[in-house]
Amino acid sequence: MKNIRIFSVLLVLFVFACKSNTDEKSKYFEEKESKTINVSDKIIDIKTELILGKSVLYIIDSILIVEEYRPVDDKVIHLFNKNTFKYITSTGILGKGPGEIGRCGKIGIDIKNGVLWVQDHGKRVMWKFLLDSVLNNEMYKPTKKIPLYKDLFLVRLGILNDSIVLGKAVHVIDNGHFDMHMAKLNLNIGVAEKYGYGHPMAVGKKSNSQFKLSVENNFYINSYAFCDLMTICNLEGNLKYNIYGPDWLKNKDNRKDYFHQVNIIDNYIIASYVDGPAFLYDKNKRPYGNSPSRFLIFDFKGNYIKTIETGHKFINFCVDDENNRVIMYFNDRENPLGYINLNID
Amino acid sequence: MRNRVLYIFLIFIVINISSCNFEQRECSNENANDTLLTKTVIFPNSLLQLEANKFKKVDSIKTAIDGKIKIISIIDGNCRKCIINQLNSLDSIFNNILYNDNKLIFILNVNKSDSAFFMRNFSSAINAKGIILWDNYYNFERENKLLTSNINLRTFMVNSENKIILYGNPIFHPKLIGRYQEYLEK
Repeated sequence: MKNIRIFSVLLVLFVFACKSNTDEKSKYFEEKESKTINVSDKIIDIKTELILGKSVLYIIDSILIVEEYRPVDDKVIHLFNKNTFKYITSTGILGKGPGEIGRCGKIGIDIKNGVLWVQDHGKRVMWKFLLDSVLNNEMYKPTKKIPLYKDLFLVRLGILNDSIVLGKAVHVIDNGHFDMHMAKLNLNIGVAEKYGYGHPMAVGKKSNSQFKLSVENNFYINSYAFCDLMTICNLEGNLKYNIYGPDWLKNKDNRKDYFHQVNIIDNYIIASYVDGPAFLYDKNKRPYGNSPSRFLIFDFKGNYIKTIETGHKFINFCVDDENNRVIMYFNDRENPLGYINLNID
Repeated sequence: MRNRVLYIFLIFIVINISSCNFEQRECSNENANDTLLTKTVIFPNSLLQLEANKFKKVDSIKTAIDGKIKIISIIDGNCRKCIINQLNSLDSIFNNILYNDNKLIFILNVNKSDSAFFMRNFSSAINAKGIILWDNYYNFERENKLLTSNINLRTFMVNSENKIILYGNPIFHPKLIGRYQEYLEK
């Protein structure tokens, strides 16, 4: 009889402990008008001497990297001084020859070693661009490459150390289907394997997320497009927080779009957010993908802080920590590149 | 008792009216599609013929296509998938049923800003025998008032007077290929 009582008490404690542990890791947010700041009149245009196609932005040292995924010229990667926005050089020659890029994917930035790992989905490899060589030779072509692992290849990545890359990888199911998983890639042998926590409900198309690694803060973040969800995990791959938006799991037919990109600014998480239809129709009745016009700011514990409304649709952004700038590539402005000065505190 | 009968009667009326409305909406949709069948299409002079990576004025093929039965398909050339799964596939399907005297024409929409990207990345993926007419601002659809979000209405057959006589995309509705064949045999 006594044993049964002890067992019951332990069971209750166990259940309670499990529940409170889950609750601590679950955060819920709702945007508030009182916490929304409009910065549409504070956008500063960046006028470049180059005409740029749709691009992805990165920062390494004092350089702003603009990588065109719809290139208009023979080179796809353009370097600017991030302080003055003065053009420095271009690299990443398009072509079929040795050291040339077939079809450019995302770039992994290795700040410590001054290396750009440039994905080439045409040749199914990842090229190693040495930043010093790029700056010294405008006709530089990389010689080192690793193959993109065919069944599980990283498409959004962050460099953990000299040999390990973490990121979100495409897992090919068959010719017409894929899903996405967190994965780690060994740069020495070119092999990727699944890694770390994935939300059990974010599967199939809903597994599509953007990725940001923060080695200095010992975590990585995934922000999901078709779920109103962000996850923060430590570098061992264990869940720290699931951050749920108000539409969490309402989007059953995937017609709505939520998080796009995610990054770190000061001691906060900054994520671009749509919360609207995934596709819109233009005046020629053609569908096009929606893009965000605002940022949500969270602290590192997943608590919602504020919303920053830019008033313009942008497709990509990067953070210049030194200058407290958020640099964006806009969809609907005459000058596609622009920035805002941002002090979260 | 009288009230209950009145309620039932009212409910019956409401259901009846709403079902009538529903039917009407369905019909008007069909009518909207069928307006295609009254249209005569023209080929604006702004179109260019794309052949072996070179552009020619549309006049150069006008004599070859005038007075012929034609199958026309409008393709958006902004992705590789559009070229392979739409243009190449439709070319392969229709070439199996076309006679020597019939023409297959693709209107290839490529925005001016994407044209260099297209020629560099996608043009090599084109594997088609049909005539390709390059359209850089939806001119064909705008001038013929054919702009639609329904991809199924962007493929149709015109008779020798350029009147639309049949429409629909056999990639999405495979049975349609039989109907295209019937019309060509007529």
